[in-house]
Amino acid sequence: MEIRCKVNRKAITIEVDCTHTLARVLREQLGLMGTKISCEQGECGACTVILNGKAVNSCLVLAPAVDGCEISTIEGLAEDGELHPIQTAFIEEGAVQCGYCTSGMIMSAKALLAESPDPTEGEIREALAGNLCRCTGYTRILRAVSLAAKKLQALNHAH
Amino acid sequence: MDSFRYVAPTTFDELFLLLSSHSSEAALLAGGTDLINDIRVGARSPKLVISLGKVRALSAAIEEGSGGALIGALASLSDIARNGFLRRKFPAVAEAANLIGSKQIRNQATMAGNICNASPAADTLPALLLYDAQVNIIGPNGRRSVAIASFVRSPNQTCLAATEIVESIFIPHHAVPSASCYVRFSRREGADLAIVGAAALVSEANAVRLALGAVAPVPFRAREAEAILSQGVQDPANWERGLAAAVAVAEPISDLRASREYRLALIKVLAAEAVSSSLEKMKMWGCS
Repeated sequence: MEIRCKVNRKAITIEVDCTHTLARVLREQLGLMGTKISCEQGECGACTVILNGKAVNSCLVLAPAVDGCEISTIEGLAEDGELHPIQTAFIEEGAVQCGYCTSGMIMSAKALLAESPDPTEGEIREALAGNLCRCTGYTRILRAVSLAAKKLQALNHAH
Repeated sequence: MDSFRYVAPTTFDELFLLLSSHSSEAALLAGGTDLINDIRVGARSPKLVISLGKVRALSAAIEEGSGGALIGALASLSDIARNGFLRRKFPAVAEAANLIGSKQIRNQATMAGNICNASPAADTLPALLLYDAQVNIIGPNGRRSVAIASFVRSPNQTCLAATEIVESIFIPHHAVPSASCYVRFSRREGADLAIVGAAALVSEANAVRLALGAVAPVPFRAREAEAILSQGVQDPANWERGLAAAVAVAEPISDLRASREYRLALIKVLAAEAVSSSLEKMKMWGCS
């Protein structure tokens, strides 16, 4: 069936198989390979994208259900060749090792910081509880999200 | 995934027509966090997936009324967990919603879906049982309301007819000032199911309510334990007797998460924690 939606601020119309998930459409039809598929059962968070402002597991969303929705993926964060402050924070804190969980982590962080620009560590942990990392451990990732919050706040003050 | 057709009706008439003509092979889609997994692993193979998301008459709102809270079928667990009115008046309900899955899951999943799935470990059921919540059902022949205790029949079975859906869940105010709490034990936060869940409510009149999940085919109120604990939680002998009564009525199974014996031991710990935390809240709030 044909659906219309916005992906990374761009309106698109696309023919989807109604049994496919959003994760599959993003990767296989739109070529947005930054969204990772790992557990495919909503436990690892590698496929996290932002759907109408909320972080969701795109492996648990049916493609036809996003008709009329707005979707942001990791590819939509950088603007004019400039990495998003959350992305630079992850690099600066060394919060990336193999990188497989990173896009999901960053999308969860993005949704969190949009809702609470100055989160407590508890809030960061809660927002990232559904994102599993199997190599770095979480300390640097938590630090990166705190740093990203500071960067974004500084940017907002500057504007 | 197996092949299926997908439809997104916008009115109850269209929805009930679809359910009447395809009931045995249709699956209802709300948040989808259980359904998509079930289809993927082959636990369910619907020929038709009917999305409820575009049915205009179905609400995602959480309404505050003088009689209680009305939670629309499409309200997400995130919205329920963060709702100030629910957190103040029905804390166990908001806490249970907040313990399900991860943030990503809670953003999609609904409380209506959680009760319709009717898992023995459904976190919202013990909390709703505390308050004698009502399930508002709508079908081609009209509306009816069912007490949450009789809504769930057996694991994964509710009293819904094949053509009926949950329209909303009503949680009536407790008659006297009260506080409540839901606690659970699971191996990992953010993904796993409850090994045992316990919800307690205490009121100014010293009455105690206690509901348990994941220790029987369906979550239930431990009535005898409630009666004993309501005689006084300060008396250590009575406290022990009350907790023992909660353990006595449970019939947990052994599965990959925990053994029957482990669950029986946990009931006492979690029931005690749920009641104690509720008492603490009462003190802190000076009764709300």
